[in-house]
Amino acid sequence: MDAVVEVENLTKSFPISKNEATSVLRGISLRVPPGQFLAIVGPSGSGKSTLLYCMSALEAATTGRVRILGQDTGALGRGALAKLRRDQVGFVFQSYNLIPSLTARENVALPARLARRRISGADVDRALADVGLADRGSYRPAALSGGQQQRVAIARVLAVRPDVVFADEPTGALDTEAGAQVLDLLAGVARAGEGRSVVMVTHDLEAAARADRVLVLRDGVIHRELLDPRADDVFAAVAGAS
Amino acid sequence: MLRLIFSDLVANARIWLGALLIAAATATVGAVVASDIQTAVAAGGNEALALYGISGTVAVFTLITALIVVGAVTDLTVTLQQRGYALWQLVGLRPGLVRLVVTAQLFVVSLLGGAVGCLLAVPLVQPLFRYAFSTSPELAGLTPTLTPAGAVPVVLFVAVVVTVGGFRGAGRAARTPPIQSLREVEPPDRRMTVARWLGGVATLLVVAAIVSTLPGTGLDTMAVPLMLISPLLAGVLAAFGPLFLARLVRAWTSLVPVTASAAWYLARNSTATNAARSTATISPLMVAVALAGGLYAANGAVGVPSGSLSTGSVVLLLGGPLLLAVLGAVATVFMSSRRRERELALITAAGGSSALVLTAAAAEAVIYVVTALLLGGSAVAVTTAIGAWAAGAWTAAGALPALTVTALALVLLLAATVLPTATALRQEVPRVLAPE
Repeated sequence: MDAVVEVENLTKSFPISKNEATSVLRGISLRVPPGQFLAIVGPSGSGKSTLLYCMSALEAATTGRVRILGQDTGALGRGALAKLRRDQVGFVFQSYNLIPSLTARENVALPARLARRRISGADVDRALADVGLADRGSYRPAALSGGQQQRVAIARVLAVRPDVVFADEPTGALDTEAGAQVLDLLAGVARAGEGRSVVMVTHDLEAAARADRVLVLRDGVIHRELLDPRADDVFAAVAGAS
Repeated sequence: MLRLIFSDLVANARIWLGALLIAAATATVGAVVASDIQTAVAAGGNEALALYGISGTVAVFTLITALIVVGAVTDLTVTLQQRGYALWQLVGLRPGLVRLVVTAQLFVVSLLGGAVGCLLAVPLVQPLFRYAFSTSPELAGLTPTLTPAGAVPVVLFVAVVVTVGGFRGAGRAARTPPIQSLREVEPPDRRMTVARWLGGVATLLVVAAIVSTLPGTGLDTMAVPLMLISPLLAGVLAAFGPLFLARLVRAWTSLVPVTASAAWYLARNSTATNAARSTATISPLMVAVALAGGLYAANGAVGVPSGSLSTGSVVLLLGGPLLLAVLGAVATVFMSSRRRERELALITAAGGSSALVLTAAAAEAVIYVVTALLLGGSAVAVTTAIGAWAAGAWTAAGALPALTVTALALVLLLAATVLPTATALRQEVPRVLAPE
């Protein structure tokens, strides 16, 4: 397989009244190869979060096609989509990532529990240790800082070992240090040599410059594409899109 | 300030509608009791004495139920909006002002609910009176009345119970550091307070006083004091709830192994951890079970066969309080459904199927109802034991009504948890998880 995620001519519109709709994505096509760390940037309202949600099948496309690991997500039923998310996809949202009533350890083990897969306590502890939270396993989300909550969400991803991780502004609510830790962890997922990809939406252009490839969105279309960019290149590309 | 009060009421309409509904229901039930008392005053003579006795019993049932249900709903109303109150403080509102605004909101909603409830009662009092007293020709001949003189105290009662019920929550909203409120989805536990200790111990003393009078009471007059014991014990359990409720939920739900069902596991953790939500739903249900079971257990103990209680008498004595208790439980589930939807959306994002999400919502309803049955049932069992001690006869008469109310509550609560969840499943996950 030469692409983990394939998007073909994707459009998405939202109704704003009975007879009117606003077009957010207008014919986007792209491919995410295995092991790539892809960042999507752009001005507010450019459609970057909507693109991420459509790519991850959390939102249905209006027209066009999204394939994850060769499976056309638009053709999958709810049960099959749930199985795809459980087995092959990981999510890290900007906030509210964790179930408040479960401890960090239970949150990390949740996808395995949903899939009725056995996951050992040692695996969960290892995932938490990998994100530097070995001593926080028994804490509930409310007792963790924002950065620690994000790291627990990444530990959950590490424990499941999905083929692709979608991250929506994962550093948006964090300070510089915590943000850098989260980025290191996400980059580590893609660069572990296991063929796992990361797709990240961010407004932090320095964070985007950590990616292998950056897409700059403007008005619902891909305005620029940068490979192994420096931060200055990303700044210039986004400035050109604003 | 007025703008803040009203715009917040509109923004959190789902929560405030629940509070308004309960205020209105309390006023409707209270207005029916007030109408009976007004009718008794106007009638005079033996009819008045009979009506006073009946109204007094209904008033006690209503008072106990209203205090528990309205207190629970009001506290939840404030708890669910803790995040909003934190934001108010962050934009510069003094903590004292936060408390004032929250109290003012509760007062406005309670007055509105009280007035609406009394208006709703106006067309109801006459047919209800005829139905309840259809087996008593002397009373059925009376014309029930409900004038402003009877309605105004009811509205004031609702306003006081709602406002005082939320006063502590309002204080908590003002005292809690804003950052803590923003981070915590809701306060992790309910703690015992001086008011809870005092209320619980005082109610327990009232129960002890009633029990102490039973040995010298004849069987013909024992049923009334005996039937008060069960709802009063429910009041004691509600007051001491923070001491044991989460542990009780964890204990009995552990009978289902965590590996058996992911839905049960999620519902169990959510119910035991979110003490504010759970207490607000379980307490009214517990009262409903205790009221229904207690009435029949008391009558059974003094030798009145269950079948001889006319439907009219049962509706008269328990109809209002039962309605209020069950509505209270359903309202709390409806009020907190936004939180439930967010949690379940996360589970969907993590790969949970629609069936699993719906089963988790249903399991939550089952946990609420069974916990309420355990608590309310224990109040009925104690009433039965006291009745056996005082009247010398064991009876199982309380079991069937308690189970019937439980079954009805389960149906309503399943609808209240599963239907909003099914609707939320139609929305895209990002919409449900979007910042509030």
